[in-house]
Amino acid sequence: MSTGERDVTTRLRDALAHQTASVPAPEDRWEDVEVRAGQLLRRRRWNRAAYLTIGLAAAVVTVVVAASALEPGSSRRVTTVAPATSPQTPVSRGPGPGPETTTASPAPSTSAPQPASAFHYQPLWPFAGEADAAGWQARYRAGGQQPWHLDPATTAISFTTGYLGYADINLVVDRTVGPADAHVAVGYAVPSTPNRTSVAAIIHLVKLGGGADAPWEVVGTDDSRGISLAAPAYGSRISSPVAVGGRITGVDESIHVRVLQQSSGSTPIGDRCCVPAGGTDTAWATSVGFAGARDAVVTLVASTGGHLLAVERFAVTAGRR
Amino acid sequence: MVSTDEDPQIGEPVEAISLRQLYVEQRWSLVRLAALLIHDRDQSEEVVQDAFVNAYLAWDRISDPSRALAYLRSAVLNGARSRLRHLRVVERTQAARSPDQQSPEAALVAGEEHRMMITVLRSLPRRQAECLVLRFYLDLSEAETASTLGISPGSVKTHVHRGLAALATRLGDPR
Repeated sequence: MSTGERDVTTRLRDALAHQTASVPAPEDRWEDVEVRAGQLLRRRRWNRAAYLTIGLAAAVVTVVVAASALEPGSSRRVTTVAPATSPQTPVSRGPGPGPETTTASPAPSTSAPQPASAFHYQPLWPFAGEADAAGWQARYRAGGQQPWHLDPATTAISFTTGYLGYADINLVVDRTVGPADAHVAVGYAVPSTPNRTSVAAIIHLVKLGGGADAPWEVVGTDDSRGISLAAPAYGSRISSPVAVGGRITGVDESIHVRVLQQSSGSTPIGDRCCVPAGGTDTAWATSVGFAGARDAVVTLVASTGGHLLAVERFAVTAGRR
Repeated sequence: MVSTDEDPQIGEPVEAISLRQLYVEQRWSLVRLAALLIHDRDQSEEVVQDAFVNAYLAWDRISDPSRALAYLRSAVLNGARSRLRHLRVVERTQAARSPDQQSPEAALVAGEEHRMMITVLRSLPRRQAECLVLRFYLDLSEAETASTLGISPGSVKTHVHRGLAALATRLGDPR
């Protein structure tokens, strides 16, 4: 530190000390802290109960409708969400975890591939649709190419670090994997705090196609990290500009919304930065324009951060052209 | 800030007492910290109250008590930024007012140079001002300042260097 810098530093310290010396001791308002925290907790619990009730009611209605629709003689199938309308475009592109590999493939399933069930989600990444996934499956069976598609955790991390471009969201914090459905919590190491991680999002993946070697596909995120993306509705048709919004819990948040499509890789076709937000379960809304949409399905992602990392939490939904 | 999965229970004795102790011991220091940035004592107190409410709700995630003070400082800085944005909008719609909200008594005793220094400090880019306050008011290390602001120690060094240079230049002391 130079002599001049030391001099300024000394004068700055004096000024700061002098300035703060005139700040009187604040009153003890701890009771106010407890009351406000209690109110927020009660509101949060009430919201949870309301969401749970609505979710149960929706589940009951869905089951009843599905049961009636699948009765013998019924000619229609139930579609609770918009079916995937994938452009049968090339296989996974963008940043996968490493080059294609030619290692020996695991023994292919001895049973014949199951007929693909109706895919009720929107295929976000890495495949554009069932045919796309089937193409990879055939190549995998022939030469063991890109086996990471069989691992939901690797697929989830590739989605965040590659497709979304969130290089810091590179840890799998937790995972729940079923036969056809997986939820992978991705996150980051908290800076300057050893052995602490924080979850940025819970990625929802499903098996796309039939057979034991059907690859995993990202179809969305669970809205459980204090940021949600409720509009546009999942799988709804969108056009530019699209109104986006949801709810957020946090302090001094800054929400960045982007629109992506597989054929453009990690380059967004729409970008809106940034929407100031904060509070407890507070609504946020904005609109984002996009241009050059070619794919049938586009990804909308809302992220927030800036406290520890540029991106600390995010939520994803799907729109259709 | 990340939301919690598990809510704390109101009245949990050990945790509440710990945060209560922090409130007793640190709230004045935190109000002073906020006051350096937003020059409004009432608003500074509200920022600190908000920070403690958020800490109360997030207490289960602040597993290391030594991190709690850093969390509170970070929350106060975030809150100060938000209030500052709001105050600037309000100021634009109101008649011209003194840049400093000191009481008449304080203004009498405050030296001209001190006032100048604080005025120039508040005119610096936000990050520079925050780094200078954390380093030279709270005497945090570069690493601690970086952790509080969520930036790298190298960035802290750069902000401090540039901030001091700007202070020297604007106070008529070019180095």
